[in-house]
Amino acid sequence: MANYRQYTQCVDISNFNPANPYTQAALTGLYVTLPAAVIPVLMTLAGGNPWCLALLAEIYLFAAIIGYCYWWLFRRLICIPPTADHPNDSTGNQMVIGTLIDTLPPYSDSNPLDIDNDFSLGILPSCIPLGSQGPFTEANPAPGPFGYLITEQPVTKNGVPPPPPAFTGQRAVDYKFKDSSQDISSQVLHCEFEGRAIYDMFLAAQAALFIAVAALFACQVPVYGWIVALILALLGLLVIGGAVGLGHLDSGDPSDVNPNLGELHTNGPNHTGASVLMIMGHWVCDAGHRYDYGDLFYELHPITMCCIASPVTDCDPTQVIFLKKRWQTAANDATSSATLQSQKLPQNQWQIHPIIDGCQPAVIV
Amino acid sequence: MIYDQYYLTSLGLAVTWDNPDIQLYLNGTPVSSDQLLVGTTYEVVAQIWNNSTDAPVVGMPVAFSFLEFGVGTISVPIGSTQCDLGVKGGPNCPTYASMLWTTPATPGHYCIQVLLQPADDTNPLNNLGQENTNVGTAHSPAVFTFTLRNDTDKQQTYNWVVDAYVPAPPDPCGSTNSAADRAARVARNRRGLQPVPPGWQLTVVPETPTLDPDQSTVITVTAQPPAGFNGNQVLNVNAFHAGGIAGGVTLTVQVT
Repeated sequence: MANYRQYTQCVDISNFNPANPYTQAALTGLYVTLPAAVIPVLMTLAGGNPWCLALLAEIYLFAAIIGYCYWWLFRRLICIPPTADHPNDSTGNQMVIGTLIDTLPPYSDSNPLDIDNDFSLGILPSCIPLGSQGPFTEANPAPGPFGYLITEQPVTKNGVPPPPPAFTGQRAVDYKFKDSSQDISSQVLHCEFEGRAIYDMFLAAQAALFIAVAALFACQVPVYGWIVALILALLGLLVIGGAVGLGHLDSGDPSDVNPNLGELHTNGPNHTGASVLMIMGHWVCDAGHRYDYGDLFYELHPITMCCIASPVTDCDPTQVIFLKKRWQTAANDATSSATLQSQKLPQNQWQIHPIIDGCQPAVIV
Repeated sequence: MIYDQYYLTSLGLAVTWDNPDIQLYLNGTPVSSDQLLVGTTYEVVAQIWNNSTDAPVVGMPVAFSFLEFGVGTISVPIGSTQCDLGVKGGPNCPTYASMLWTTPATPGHYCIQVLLQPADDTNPLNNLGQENTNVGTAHSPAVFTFTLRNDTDKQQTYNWVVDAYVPAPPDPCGSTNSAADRAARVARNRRGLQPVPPGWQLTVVPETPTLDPDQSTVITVTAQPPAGFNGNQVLNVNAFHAGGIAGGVTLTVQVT
């Protein structure tokens, strides 16, 4: 299994700030800009160029971008503790086997300011009928062996974070008809392969902030200082623009975790034909979807492993627990250091068949 | 993946129908597929490989079937099982799938087929392994018969290519294992590099049969060893039509 990509970190609910992220970003901008403004303001009062203070606007912008990216990367996702019946595996993963209902590739929406380049999947967990809506709560849990993954957990109850709609999955349609009244909407588990764009922006904004602060001070230098400041200010904007472009080149993709993953299919008009996927990932609640979808999403984010799998034909919990253990064993074996070392050995370099282009390892007596 | 004669032939490689990935056992003892007893229960074991270093397979269906000895004959299901296959270089690779098979009451030779049915596969062309072998004692000459059936939907004319290919044991791994090393190993398995040894007289009758869809005919192979020959000689009889390889059998001539 290839290394999965992770730029985010989830937070415990105790560290989660339910405030609007735009408010948080605006406050971050102030926290950075106000201290930075003290000396330039004093210099201006002492006879410096007052136009230089206009650069504080750029500093505020870059600081706010940092604040937003920080929230996105490190304060948006709430860790969902594993339940007693469904512990994490040894690497902190939960697992689902289910039907691929929809996909949301990076940059597929029309908002040019949305630079999120995660690749998202909507998975209907096995043994949940198509069209199941919920909301799924403790009193009305989602059915099936994986239903708990989209059933409201204590961590997101009691108004933290608001709103508490108890709709903890993603609304998804497996096939969109011209007459939308024929669509079947289901509550599914949202899963994401992480892209790097927000992290790139986070780094770029920090660099740009440093440049803007330098511009602010350079501006106070007599005669040519304003020219240097102007160049630096433009350079800061250029760095931000470069980060936007760079992010487009580094989107999340299913092949990140499984280069051998075959073509993925969603259902056709007869509601059949979709790929069945086995997905492992970190179980989180994405509070950010309050602002784009109006719901909380429970997610596997980031996806750490993804394979096309055989459908679950027996929903007996005992059988599914056994199946989960087999997948977990296979995944752990595939990623163990012993396996990764073994894959470099000469006897494992065959491509056609071991008897055709393989070799026998040396026998050490 | 399994040793798939159809896929390997498509790469221009010689093949044996004595499949290195399929083995029959009787009461735990390996037995040759050319000496099967009627009405006897054997364990058919398939060795299965994964060419992916990233994607394990859990619960992969593996279908076993048998056919009347020959080329293009009709496959009769034995049963299906499942296996878990690890990534290349890891535990459970290769893995093994087994199935009990009670041979028909009718005496005769049979082929075994093993078909892997993974939910996802980068190369789905190397999932059908076949074991077709027969042994005959040369009583000047050795005579073999088998059935050739047209299993396509159009008329086909068949040609025979006979060779003496036997896959050699893999080389010891050297200190390097470059692409050139692997290419050299592949080259040693190219079709045509192990022809029938000089002195053998072979006839396949009919020589170029033409069959309609589902039509079958009996093929007779006569193998006359050179004077003074002692031992075993393997002969792979491969049938080709316009679409590529149709199948084949591996015959062993014993001279004592």
